[in-house]
Amino acid sequence: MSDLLYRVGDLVKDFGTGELRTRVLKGMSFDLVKGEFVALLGPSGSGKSTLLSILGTLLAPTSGTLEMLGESLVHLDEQRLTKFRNRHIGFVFQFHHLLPDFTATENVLFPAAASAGIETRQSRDRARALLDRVGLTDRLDFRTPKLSGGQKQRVAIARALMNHPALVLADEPTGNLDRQTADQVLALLRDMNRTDKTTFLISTHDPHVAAFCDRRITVVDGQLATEGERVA
Amino acid sequence: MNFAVKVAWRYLTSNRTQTALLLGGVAIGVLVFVFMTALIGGLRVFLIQQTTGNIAHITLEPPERVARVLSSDERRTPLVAFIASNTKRQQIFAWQTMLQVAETTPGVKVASPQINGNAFLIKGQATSPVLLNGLRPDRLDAISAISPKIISGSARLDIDGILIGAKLATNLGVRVGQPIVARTDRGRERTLSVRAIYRTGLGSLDERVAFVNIQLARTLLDLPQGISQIELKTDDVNAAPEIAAALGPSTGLKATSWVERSAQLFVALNSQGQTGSLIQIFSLITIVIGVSSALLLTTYRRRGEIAIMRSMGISRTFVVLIFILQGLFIGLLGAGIGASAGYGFCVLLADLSRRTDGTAFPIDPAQGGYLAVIVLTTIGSVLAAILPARAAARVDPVEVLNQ
Ligand SMILES: Nc1ncnc2c1ncn2[C@@H]1O[C@H](COP(=O)(O)OP(=O)(O)OP(=O)(O)O)[C@@H](O)[C@H]1O
Ligand SMILES: [Mg+2]
Repeated sequence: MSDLLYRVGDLVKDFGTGELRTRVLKGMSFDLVKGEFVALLGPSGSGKSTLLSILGTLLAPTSGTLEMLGESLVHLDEQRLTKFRNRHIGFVFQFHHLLPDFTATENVLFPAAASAGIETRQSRDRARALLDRVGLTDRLDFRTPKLSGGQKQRVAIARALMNHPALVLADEPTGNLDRQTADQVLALLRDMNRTDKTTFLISTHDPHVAAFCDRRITVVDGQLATEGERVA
Repeated sequence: MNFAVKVAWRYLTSNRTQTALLLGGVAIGVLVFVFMTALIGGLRVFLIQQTTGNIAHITLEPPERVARVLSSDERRTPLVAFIASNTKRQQIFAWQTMLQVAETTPGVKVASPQINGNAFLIKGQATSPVLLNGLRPDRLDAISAISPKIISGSARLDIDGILIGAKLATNLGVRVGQPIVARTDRGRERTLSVRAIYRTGLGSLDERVAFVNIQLARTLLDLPQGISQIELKTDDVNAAPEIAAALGPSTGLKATSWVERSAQLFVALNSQGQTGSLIQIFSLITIVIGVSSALLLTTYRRRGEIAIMRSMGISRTFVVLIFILQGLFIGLLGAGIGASAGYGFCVLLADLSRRTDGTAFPIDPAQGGYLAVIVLTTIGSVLAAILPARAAARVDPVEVLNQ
């Protein structure tokens, strides 16, 4: 199936060693297809953040297979994983995690400039265009501490999309925002998903966010409870 | 512009207070280094000047008697003899030729032929042993400048006059114009007139030496043909050993430079130099520790940012580079500021010293070791950044981001 983006097979993650060894992910298998907008649900401590870290190549699984864009990720070394992540995956976190010493534009172009070694004209233009799309045209050269919570999260979204990733992993992206701002951010993600065919996997506790998504994957105690119906 | 350079620079400029303090610390370390280097260098020049100012740079003396092999039967221990003759005086015979050779040797400023010997100066009941130094009148000031140091009388080296030091004059109770008896170890005796009394400040010259005309010394010391020694001044004191090495063979005399005669000075200069090196090393170590700890703190403070960079797929190499570059900038800037300030400080002190008597700080601002300190500080700061940079590269993004 050419629409397949990510295939996860029998994913297991243990933390700790010896007596303290605990199995957090207990054998999960599922697929993500290109252009999906998926919610990741489950009670606190069920393993959502851990799963996102593993999918995003920030954390190595204990066992299982990970295949993204036809490439097996479990055997790649640290350097290749870093490159892969830079090229294909974007992150949005609950706390924006922007670089406070840089302007909105600089934050957005950072993933491109740091991996290229130089700040190109194209990357600057791309960053500006993205900030334009998230409605921050008049905040391009603001240092990020001067932005509001919602504005910061929009900069973070623009940054996640900078390198045209195939997959954006969002860990409770609206968890820290009020209802109205959360809706704006969500609408923005949806817009990016529609126009760029970017796949989104969004972990959330918010039923409102869950309802907004195409599909809901639910994790309970490190296992897949429901995988949801894929809309055609 | 390279993006790592931009990020490193931004990190330094965004925290002005911390950066200013750090630069200040590095600059002070560099200033101490420059000050010590200039002081030790200046002191060396000063001490050498002081030492060589009043002494011969090269002394030409009669060659030492060489041991002669009396029997050279190879199966036996050879018999060797020194001709330690007491009947033959140690003297330079063909001295006019030698003098000419010495005077025409490049690098030699002036040559002074001398006849020296021991004598007693007697005034009534008071006697004092002296080294009688017979000089050509036109070379009175050639080796030690006596004329400017005269406190009474005039610098006249005539055939029955004598020049003595102030201490000696006091010991003997004589004044200018008074007669004094000179009795040499050759048994000759003559009444001389004190022409001048000088004070050089050097104990040996002021108390144990007296100057007379070389012709008078010839008679008093009973040396009808030869002379005792030729003393030379060279244009450059540092060239003296080399010139001496050439003069030995060309004159057949024993040529000794001041360097060989001032072993103690060089021991002192060396230990001074070692103390200086120690202070230099410690100031560099202080700089390295300062930079390293400041950057380690920065690394810790920026763990969150490093984690987010890593999650963006930014390589460890880039993270390392950011911190190494910060070390580089701090080193270059701190060294630049410190070296400039150090130069200014040295010039100020040298000026102050010159306006007083010149001995307070014999500092030489030209010898601050500026290039060395800038290079060493920059290398040191870069090395100091390695530890923080590695700590930064080891930040685990998951651990930090999930907090
Ligand atoms: N580094 C770690 N070492 C040991 N245990 C860990 C580590 N990281 C996570 N865990 C454990 O794994 C389990 C899953 O954590 P995770 O953060 O993935 O849950 P979550 O579903 O994201 O929860 P929440 O909804 O509260 O964010 C928890 O029990 C947690 O304590
Ligand atoms: Mg979580």
